[in-house]
Amino acid sequence: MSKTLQDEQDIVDTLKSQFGEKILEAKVQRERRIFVKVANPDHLEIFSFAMEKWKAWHLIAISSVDKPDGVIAAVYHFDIRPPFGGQVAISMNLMIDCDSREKPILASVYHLINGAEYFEREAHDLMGIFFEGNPNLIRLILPDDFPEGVYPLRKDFLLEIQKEEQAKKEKK
Amino acid sequence: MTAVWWILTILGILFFPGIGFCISIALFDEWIDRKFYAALQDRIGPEHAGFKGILQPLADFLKLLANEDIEPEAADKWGMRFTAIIGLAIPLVALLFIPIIDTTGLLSFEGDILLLAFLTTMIALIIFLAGWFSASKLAMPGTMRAASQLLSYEIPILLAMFAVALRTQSFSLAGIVQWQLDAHRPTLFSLPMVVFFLVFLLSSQAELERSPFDIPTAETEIVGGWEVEYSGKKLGFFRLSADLQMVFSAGLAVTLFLGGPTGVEMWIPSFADWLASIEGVSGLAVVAILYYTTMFAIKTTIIVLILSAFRALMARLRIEQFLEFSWKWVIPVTLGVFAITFFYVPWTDNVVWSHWEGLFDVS
Amino acid sequence: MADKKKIKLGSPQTGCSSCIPNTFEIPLGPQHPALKEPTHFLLEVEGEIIVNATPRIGYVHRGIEKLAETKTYSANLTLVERVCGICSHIHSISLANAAEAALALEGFEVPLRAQYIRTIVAELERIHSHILWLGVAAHEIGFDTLFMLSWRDRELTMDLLEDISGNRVNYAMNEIGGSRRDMNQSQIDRMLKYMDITEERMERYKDICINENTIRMRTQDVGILLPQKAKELCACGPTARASGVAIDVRYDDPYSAYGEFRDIFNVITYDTNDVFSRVVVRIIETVEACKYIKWMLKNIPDGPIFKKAPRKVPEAQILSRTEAPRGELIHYLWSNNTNKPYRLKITTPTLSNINTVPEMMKGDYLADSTITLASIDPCFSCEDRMITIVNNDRRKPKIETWSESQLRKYSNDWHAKNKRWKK
Repeated sequence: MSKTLQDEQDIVDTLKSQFGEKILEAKVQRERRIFVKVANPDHLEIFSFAMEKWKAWHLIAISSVDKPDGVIAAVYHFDIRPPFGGQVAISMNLMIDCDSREKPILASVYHLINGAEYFEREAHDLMGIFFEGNPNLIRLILPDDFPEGVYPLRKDFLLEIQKEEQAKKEKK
Repeated sequence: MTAVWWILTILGILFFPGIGFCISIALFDEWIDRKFYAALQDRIGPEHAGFKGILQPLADFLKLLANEDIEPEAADKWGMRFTAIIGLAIPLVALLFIPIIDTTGLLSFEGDILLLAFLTTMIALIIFLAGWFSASKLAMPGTMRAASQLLSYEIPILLAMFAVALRTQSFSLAGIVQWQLDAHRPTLFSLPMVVFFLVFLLSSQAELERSPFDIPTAETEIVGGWEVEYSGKKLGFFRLSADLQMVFSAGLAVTLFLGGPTGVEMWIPSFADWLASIEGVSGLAVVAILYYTTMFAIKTTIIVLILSAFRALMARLRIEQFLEFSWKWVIPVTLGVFAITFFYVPWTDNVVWSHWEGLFDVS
Repeated sequence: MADKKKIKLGSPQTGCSSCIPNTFEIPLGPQHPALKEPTHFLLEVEGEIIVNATPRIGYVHRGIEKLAETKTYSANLTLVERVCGICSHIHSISLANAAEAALALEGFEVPLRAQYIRTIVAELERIHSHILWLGVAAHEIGFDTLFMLSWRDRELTMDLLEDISGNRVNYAMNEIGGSRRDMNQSQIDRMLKYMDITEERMERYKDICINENTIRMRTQDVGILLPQKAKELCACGPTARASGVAIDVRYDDPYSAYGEFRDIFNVITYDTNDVFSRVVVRIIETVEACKYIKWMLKNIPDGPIFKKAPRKVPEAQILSRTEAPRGELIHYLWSNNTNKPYRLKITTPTLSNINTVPEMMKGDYLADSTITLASIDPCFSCEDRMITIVNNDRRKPKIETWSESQLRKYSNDWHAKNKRWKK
């Protein structure tokens, strides 16, 4: 990997100079991947800024993670440099930690990008993140009679196979 | 009306050339249709039941009779049952009027073409009722489509039938066949009639609800449309009814445009005389019957093949596209040609067609 | 109407409450002959015109994301191939790429020949997926002849895949660190021959679709998705490209061997924004895929196809983007220096594309609803990925996984209780 990663570094620098302390962490992960971490409502500003400056209209996906330290986080993936003019695209992973585990709340990007609706509903369904401003935050994937407040992708939700493994460990 | 006449007529209605024969030829034509359609798509088609799968349509029908018959709670059950039975009965009745074993049909009277026109419309009405009684969300659009489609193919089909009646100056199928025999040519060879023949085939395709006009039953859009709630025996009846309608439409086309069950005797008067002479003779009458039946079967099969090819070549239209096509093109053209036929038949008969007919006049 | 109550009528749009409502609702799915997999759309219809559509997905949710956390990486390759039956290979490429990118932080590198083999199989998969779609779309518009013929030609590609991998559906070609199977010269020759035939057949289908009147009548001006809307709704893959939005991960963010022939790569777009446009884009993409395969077969380097990778994957957060036949596929991998992923997030193209469908359907005829839905090439088993069968007791929600014998018993009991059904 002898590539210079200059473009990626430029984008990180621009973001840092623009937002200053709001950016908790920003780095170049590897070729064509940037990682940025901000606090809750600031990601809306970063989105607006990126959409204005780089025309970053392409939201790829929204991931949700139950991190090892027990914090629920959402990761927005989007093309920071839109793929036009033969350039390779650079995509950004924008991570936002939620403050509470009981009712994690994030600001929705629905009004900026309508297509985020389904990604947010998926994260809401499976990880229990509440997106404020999403007008249609109802079940997407799980059945309607699934118990409220149970979120299968959280680490405290164990499958049968995981329960068996735990029981074995405890025996030892 | 002797007792023998009655017995023969009843046997005729039940077996040959009545219900039994019509159902056999309907199933045979379905097999032909499926085999040909499959060949056009590079498939094999029915293969295992009987010779090359010739018994497959019969097996399908029997299987449907044995299937579970489910009726939705919200549906009008008696209505569903009646429509299934009447849907089967109407094409059977209509087929009795088609000349198959003779130049006249089993039942025949002056003006029977009007009755047939009425019966074809009744079939469409039964389809409308069948969808209506089954009270299903998916049947309703199918029913509505069937109703609006009805208007746009019935008019051309009736115009085509009456155009032939006008050309041949006869309101009975027997008269039409006789006219063709006397004129030594099928009606198709009168020029404006070619248009009506094409219109008749097109409208038949729509009436039979076959692609590209299978709009009321479109499987991938409204899940079978009006027949979605029908299962078991009732579905079997409707399927058989569809086959019978196909034979009826093909048979009517053959009668109106292609000389009915007659064949080469049109151009060979001595053969025609011989056929006429053996009609009273009990032993030889069988030869005449076999000859007429074979001719009818061959011609019907040709029409069925044309309809099958038509089915394989196009995508399904949308209902409003079909209505547009029908009202903007087919109906005006048919009406125009009809008017020409109406006003110019006497003139053309005397002036123009005398030359044209000379080509076929071998006597 | 014998039973007006049975047909649920929508709320009246305007006027007094006693007015007859002018819209009613028609369900599309979960079981529907036009849908190859279960999903549900509630269509609000005014006559034959659709005024609104509400999707409901999740009928084939199997818990793959959760299950992936309990399995090792090489077992996960097998698992993610089962996400989808049609685009199975691209899932395993995506996961392998993610794991290898994490290993690359420690200097691990995959042999180039393995990358070529992966890419060839991925493009073969694209060809068979697109031809399959063409057949399905033809069936939706009632053109069964094209359906049968195109699926006949798809068999060539399926034969090739079987020849290379031994399987027709889940190819199991990938391993972390390379490919499992090599290609020999006779396979390459056979592939070159078949690709010529496929290319010729696809050119023929392009002619048919562009010139056949009934196809054009059914697909033109149907399911319009304007470029601006496509961007707003995060459309991806052929759906976006058919709206004139030139995004293609193979070109924008090359992975595997796509970087090698980026200069001959064409991003196929078409600008009529309707179903017809999606048909054309997919057919041309198939032709292009044949060209790429031929290029790769001629330029495939010699060398090893596999390099043994360490079992533990170092801690990293990797976003792996690939272009599945249906659009952009995302695997977001959190590894934690063990042999199992900490979190594997899969986002499939259908989830991105499904919310463009209501937009496309609005104002169209009911008859066009299925072809419009089919035009995004939906793959619902991709979209839903989790199972736990839940026994819902309101007071005490209990979650349990049912075994096969339990399910059978439940089925028997249910039928014994509901005998009226059998009658």
